[in-house]
Amino acid sequence: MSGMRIKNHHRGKRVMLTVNGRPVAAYSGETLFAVLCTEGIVALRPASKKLTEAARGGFCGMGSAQECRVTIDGMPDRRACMTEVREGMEVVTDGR
Amino acid sequence: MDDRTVDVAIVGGGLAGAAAADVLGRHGASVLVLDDNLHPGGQYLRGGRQSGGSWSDRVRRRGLRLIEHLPQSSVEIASRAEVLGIEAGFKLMVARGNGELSTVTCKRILLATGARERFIPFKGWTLPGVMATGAFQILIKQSGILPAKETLVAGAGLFLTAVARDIQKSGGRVPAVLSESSFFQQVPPPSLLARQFAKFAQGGGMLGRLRLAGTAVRNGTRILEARGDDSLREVVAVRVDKKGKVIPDSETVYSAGSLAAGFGFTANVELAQLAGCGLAFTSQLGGWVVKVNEDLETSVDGIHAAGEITAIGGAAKSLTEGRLAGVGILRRMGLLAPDELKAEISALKEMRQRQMAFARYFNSQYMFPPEYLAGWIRSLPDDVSVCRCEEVSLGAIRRAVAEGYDTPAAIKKATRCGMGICQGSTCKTILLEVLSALTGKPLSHIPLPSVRMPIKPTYLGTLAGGVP
Amino acid sequence: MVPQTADAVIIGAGVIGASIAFHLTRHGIKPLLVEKSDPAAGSSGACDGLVFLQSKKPGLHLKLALESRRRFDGLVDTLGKSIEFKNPGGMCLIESEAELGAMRLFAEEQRKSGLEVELIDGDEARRREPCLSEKVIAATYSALDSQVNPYALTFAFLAAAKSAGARVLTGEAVRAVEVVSGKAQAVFTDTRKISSEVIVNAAGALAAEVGRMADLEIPITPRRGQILVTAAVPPLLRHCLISAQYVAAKFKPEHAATGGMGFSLEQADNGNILIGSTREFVGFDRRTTFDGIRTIASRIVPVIPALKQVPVIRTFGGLRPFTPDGLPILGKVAGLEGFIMAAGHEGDGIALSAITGELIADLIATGRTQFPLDAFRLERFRERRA
Repeated sequence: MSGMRIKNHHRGKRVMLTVNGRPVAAYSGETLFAVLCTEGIVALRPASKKLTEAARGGFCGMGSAQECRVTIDGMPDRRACMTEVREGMEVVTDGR
Repeated sequence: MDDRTVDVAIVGGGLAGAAAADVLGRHGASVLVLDDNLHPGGQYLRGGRQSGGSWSDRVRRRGLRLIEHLPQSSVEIASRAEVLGIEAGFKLMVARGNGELSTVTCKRILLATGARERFIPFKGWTLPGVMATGAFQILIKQSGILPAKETLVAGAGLFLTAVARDIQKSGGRVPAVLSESSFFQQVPPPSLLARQFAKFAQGGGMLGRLRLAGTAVRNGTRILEARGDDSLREVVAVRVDKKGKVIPDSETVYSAGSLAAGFGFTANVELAQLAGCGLAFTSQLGGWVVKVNEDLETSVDGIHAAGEITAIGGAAKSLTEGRLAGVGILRRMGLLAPDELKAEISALKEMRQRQMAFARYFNSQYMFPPEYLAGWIRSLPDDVSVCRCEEVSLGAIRRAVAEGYDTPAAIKKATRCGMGICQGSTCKTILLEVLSALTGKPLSHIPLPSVRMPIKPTYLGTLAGGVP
Repeated sequence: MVPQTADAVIIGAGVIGASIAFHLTRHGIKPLLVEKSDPAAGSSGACDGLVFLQSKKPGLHLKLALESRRRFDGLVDTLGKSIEFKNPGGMCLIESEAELGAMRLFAEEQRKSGLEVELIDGDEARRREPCLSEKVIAATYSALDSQVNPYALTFAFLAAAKSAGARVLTGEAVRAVEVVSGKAQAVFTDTRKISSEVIVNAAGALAAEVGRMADLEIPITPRRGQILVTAAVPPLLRHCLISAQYVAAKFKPEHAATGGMGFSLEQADNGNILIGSTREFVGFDRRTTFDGIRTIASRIVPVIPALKQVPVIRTFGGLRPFTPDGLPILGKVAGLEGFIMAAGHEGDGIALSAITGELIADLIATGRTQFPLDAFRLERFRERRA
């Protein structure tokens, strides 16, 4: 699953972030979860106990499920869906 | 945000919260709206302005205008503000987006905490690539991003068509919409149809446009399994009969890397429960809701409620109730004379009754009869995940019930279901329905597990008063 | 009203009642537990799992705890891995010179009671427990200090007891105790009358209420302890930890006024870290408070700074069954035949559950116990007042 930007959606200015060491371009106003979708990064962290399949990704999109947790600027367990991208943001998935 | 003292704290900056803030602010009350989201407007107004002439666009524009014109001298909106708890007095503990903690002191509280999606689990629903229908809508509206070029939409209820249309209008493809039951399975009573015609017309129109765009609409169809290794690869669906029984040999496999699954909504009543407000389980109102009188007062003196938490009922109802609750608070605070706005209050109450009638109809689409739901749950295999956070399977819950642990609180200790980081946000409704199916007790008789602060996970450094 | 009889009735299916039931079945006695809610719905499900020897008062209390601790190794074999018993050793953290002085003396008393404790300096403490900050200037270490999952322990006791014939009634509160000619001979719930030669009051924080049903004045009052629970995180703590504060204050009360609150921490098998605690007399209110949460959080951050970035996902309040002298109330009751006390363990219920179950079961089955229960009798409070 790889995402794409919708035409005719008003976007803010371009920003550069780093995701797992790689530079990624995005637009102010987009959530980090949305940007990770465009990059095809759907697996954000391992499952809690590794009893079932390996990875987990975002689920509810609205801050409730706590599935989309990533490390942002060194702070762990931040919900990607509740965070807007910022210039210079450093993101590590599967970080803890 | 430093500590604050205001007349009224409103928890939730969606349509209900905004409507209340508007009337409160214009009649002399100082108001602080505490909204946990990045921008006010709740779930409904994600993405801001829309063009178009449909009914829902008109409601959307009304809501946006409301928020944009809130009287700034008396109304402050704090975004990225999570209310962690409430104490008598009233005091609210608030965690800010920057990691700081603050206390808000106020005379009255309006709870307008909205709703979240609820789910019936299926095998493989924790795979990356499987997301809630709302997640797709939010990604599209707020960030202008389509998570996948092609998405299968499945589950139950009217929201499926709306999300499928949103995906299509954004340039995505929806090969099929698979719904547990037929849309409009209950023919709405003529009186309701007449008064809420615009909504029904929009729904019918959406279905038509979906089909025109090449989407197969399949009713009586249930997701059996989502399959894949690291992420979703295919979805297996089965036909079910009118009683919800799986029809043998009716499987269809859809190749899919993206699945939008939706099963309806449940009210965010946790903060109300924590504050001691009386709750009630009513199927027709969307499950567990906050009990309110006709002035939208809860059972706790000084706490009012409006919007989805009084009944899952949609945007227009939230606008009406926000205003009605605001007026009720003004009267209680002596900021409105007993005769003031009398005509408007009557009109609001009448409108609310009509909107509640629509809500009851709307929710009947999601609330399957107990026997139907029980059969559905009994048909699920043991290895379906109920609690996503702690990976507690349906089998583990079945075993615990067999050992005599048959209340939500007991199951929690016996299996860890609900002990994870989301604290039951996703699995609570599932567990309640599973217990109802396994014990035969009606949902209204299954006690909710207790709620404690913090309502949302909060860094210990924040709770300590510093910045983590 | 359904009449029935039982070999023994145990009021309360918390860890104490469950342990007694387990030990009774080993004597071939099949008790009936009567639980008003669910197993471990009370304090046994709202506590941390520390089996800490260093926090016990030297003398009888510590000796009882040592006996209990010794039973745990055997219990693991019988009850299995589900109880999550772990023996990482425990450290009592010292943050001031005054505390250090008090702890030196305290350690002497502990050794006299049979507990080996080692006094180490701050650097050694940090070598053994790297997450500790410089605020820790010293620590006492005991290799025996352990932890367990308290409700899993309760469930395991019950499962073993049930497989040997014990029965558990849940959702049934005892409403009355029938006493005839100085003999307690039955309990009533809303729907049943259960007659028995033996009635055990293992109702924890509610033991006084049960006592009133038998016309007994039982000085057990609830003392709330609030606990913070974090999300599951990778291993951070290598030991169970407590602060010297309240231990030092026990021994030298003048230290009670200085410094902050006492704390305790453990990291559970699942990875969650439990951080406690307050000590409040607030009746039966189990809610957590802004004050309690902020106090615990701000107390622990300077000592273990890495906790700043760990999310707290839950808090709860447990009601410790507090007695005026800090010792539980165990054994027969003078003047009331057939009624046995097994409650009042304050914050030590989990640690003392093993020995309590054994002693009470022995008392019921044989009339004799390995240790005399005189010091724990209910009458001691009346006698002290006289």
